[in-house]
Amino acid sequence: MAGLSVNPTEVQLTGRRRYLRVSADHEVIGVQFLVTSFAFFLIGGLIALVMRAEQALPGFDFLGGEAYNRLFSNHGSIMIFLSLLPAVLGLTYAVLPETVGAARVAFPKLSAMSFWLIPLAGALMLASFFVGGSTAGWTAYTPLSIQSPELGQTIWAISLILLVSSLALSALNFLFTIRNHQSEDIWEIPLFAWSALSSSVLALVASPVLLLALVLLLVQRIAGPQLALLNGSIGVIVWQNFFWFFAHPLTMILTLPMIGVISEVVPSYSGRPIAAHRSTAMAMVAIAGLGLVSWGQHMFASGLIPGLRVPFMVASMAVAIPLAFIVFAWIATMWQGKVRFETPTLFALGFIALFIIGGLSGLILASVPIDLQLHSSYFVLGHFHFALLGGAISGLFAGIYYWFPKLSGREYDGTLGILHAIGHTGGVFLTYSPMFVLGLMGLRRRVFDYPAGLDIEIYQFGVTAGALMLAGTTMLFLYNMFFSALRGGSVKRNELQTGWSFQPMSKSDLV
Amino acid sequence: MRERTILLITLLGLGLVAAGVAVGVVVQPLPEIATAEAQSISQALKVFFGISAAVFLGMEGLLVFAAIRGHLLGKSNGEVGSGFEMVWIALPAVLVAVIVIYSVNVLSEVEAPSSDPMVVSVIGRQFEWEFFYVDAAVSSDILVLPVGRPVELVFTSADVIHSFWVPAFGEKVDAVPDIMTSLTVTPLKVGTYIGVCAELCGEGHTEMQAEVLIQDLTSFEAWLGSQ
Repeated sequence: MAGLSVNPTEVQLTGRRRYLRVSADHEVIGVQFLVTSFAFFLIGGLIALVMRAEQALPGFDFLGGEAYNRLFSNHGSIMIFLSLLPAVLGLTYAVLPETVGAARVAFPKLSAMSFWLIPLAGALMLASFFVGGSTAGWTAYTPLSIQSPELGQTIWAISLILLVSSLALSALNFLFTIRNHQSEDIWEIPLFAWSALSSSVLALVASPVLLLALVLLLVQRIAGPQLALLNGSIGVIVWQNFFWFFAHPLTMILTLPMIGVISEVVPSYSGRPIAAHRSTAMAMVAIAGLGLVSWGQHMFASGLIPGLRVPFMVASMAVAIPLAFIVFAWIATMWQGKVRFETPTLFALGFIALFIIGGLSGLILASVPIDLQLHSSYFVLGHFHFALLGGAISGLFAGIYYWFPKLSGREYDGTLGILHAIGHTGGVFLTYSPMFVLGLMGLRRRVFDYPAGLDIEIYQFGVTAGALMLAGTTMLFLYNMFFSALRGGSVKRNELQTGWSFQPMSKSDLV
Repeated sequence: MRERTILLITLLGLGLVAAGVAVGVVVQPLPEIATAEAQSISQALKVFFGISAAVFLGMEGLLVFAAIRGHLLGKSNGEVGSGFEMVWIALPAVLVAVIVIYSVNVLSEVEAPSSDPMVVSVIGRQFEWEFFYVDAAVSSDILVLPVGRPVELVFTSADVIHSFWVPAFGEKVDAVPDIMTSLTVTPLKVGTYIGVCAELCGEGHTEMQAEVLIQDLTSFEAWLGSQ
């Protein structure tokens, strides 16, 4: 790993070229993560549009079972592991040290390593597409993921091992960075740092488990039946439990830091500290804790031991309590604040509005009897897209606009930003709310075709229209970021201070 | 002033409850109901949608109102009393407790043991379903069930994981290699339905479907005899 040795002069590099090199500067690394993740967001989005083209009308149009399986498997893996995950890590690198009063992250070289694993894993994932591709979904349930003879599925496993390792390295880095905080009391650190702390602990506990499962899968795929570690019923039970032990917390790892972003944006644009700072921090810890014991929620219809279903249901539903608490804290902050409607505020409002829908649909799915009907249906697609695109990605956009002046030293176009916020929120609603209805109608996910003549077509049309709207508003964002980073007006030093400063941290502000 | 606030909150709360009840009554969550279990699930969905509608309207309304109020009044002021924090915990906690208890009840209703069910063994394989009537030793590629009699469907798989889902039955369960899973259904309504595979199983997943017929007892016995 000679490329990772960091030359001290390189750290001092200014200008755009530093973003193309191995850097140990956390802001540069943050931007590297964010830009890379956005490139994969475009690829994942393009795949989604191709799938939409097939789904727009009933009947076989141009994608058969094999091609469609390959597309949605890669859409899921790319969006979750190569787009959302690096974006969340990138935003955390870019701002975490300042939130705790540190000059840099605890392990700068580790951050560089964590970043450079992403393009490597991404290149592998894209390459896998051309050698059979992964076709077992992002969940890669065994035995299907073992059965496929294609090289693509093996490369998928290698790519995921690299990506989960990248997450674990960064999580470790974040924890030690927060440990160096300059506050007298850990409760005083800003809520963004609290969200990073909770999600990093979660990531460190959960990622070894998926890594182990991935290694078992990889060994079996390479060594063949001679070394069958994931065969038969044992394999099914091991894979599903190990996978969801990681993947359920993963949804928290992706959303918690965004809850942290909104907890900075809302008070900042309300001109007052957040209501209930300390309790909100505790709620974040509670979300992480419950996230660790809710994984069985995904296996109610999979033959999970019947007696375990109710405890898993209780744990899954209980997460609504800290989540609702935080939403109430945001609402109270605005209620008693001086609210300015700017791009980050609108994204924060969009985040809250859409996240409420994601949360309520999650409560419905967490109910065992209802899940027996809606599991694997379009309803599930609607739920997690509301949570991830309405939640995590709205939060990311809020954070990116919020800290854009800090990271680039330039202003973004506020009008385009507001259009993007409205378009994104509306687009998510238009795209994913029809999916709830489609799921109730009995449409299962992961199929390329559906019966003609029913109302299904109308709702599918809504999904297609929404997807195009999201694609359009994403282009607005791309244009805005690209031209603002090159030609946007310079940000004055004092504006920079008020624009992104973290919440006051004096004792009297803590409720 | 204080009394007015209490009155306002009460009225708004009642409005939300009314809206929730209205949604619960109006919504028809399942397009078709073929079994007693589907009836329970449909009822549960109505309750959940009613609750969700009330919570949705309440929370979104509060959010929009707070943002606009904060924008228009435009004065940053005051502490939020710590009494409020208890309310923010109590409200969702009560809601979660209610839906947990309700869900457990519905689950025990749906999974109540039925006396003397007819046993049909279902084998999923890429990419078809096979139904084996154990007592009659009859094998079929369509599922025919008599109305009114509880049926225990026992699932397994010959290759990868499948999941047998008849949306009109209101429930599904995976068919897993080397594992037996089961689902007890009580057919209520004569008709033709469709059973699909709801767990990704490979290239032919989309086409993995089976016809499901619910017939009166005489037609069912005639069909079984003719096989």
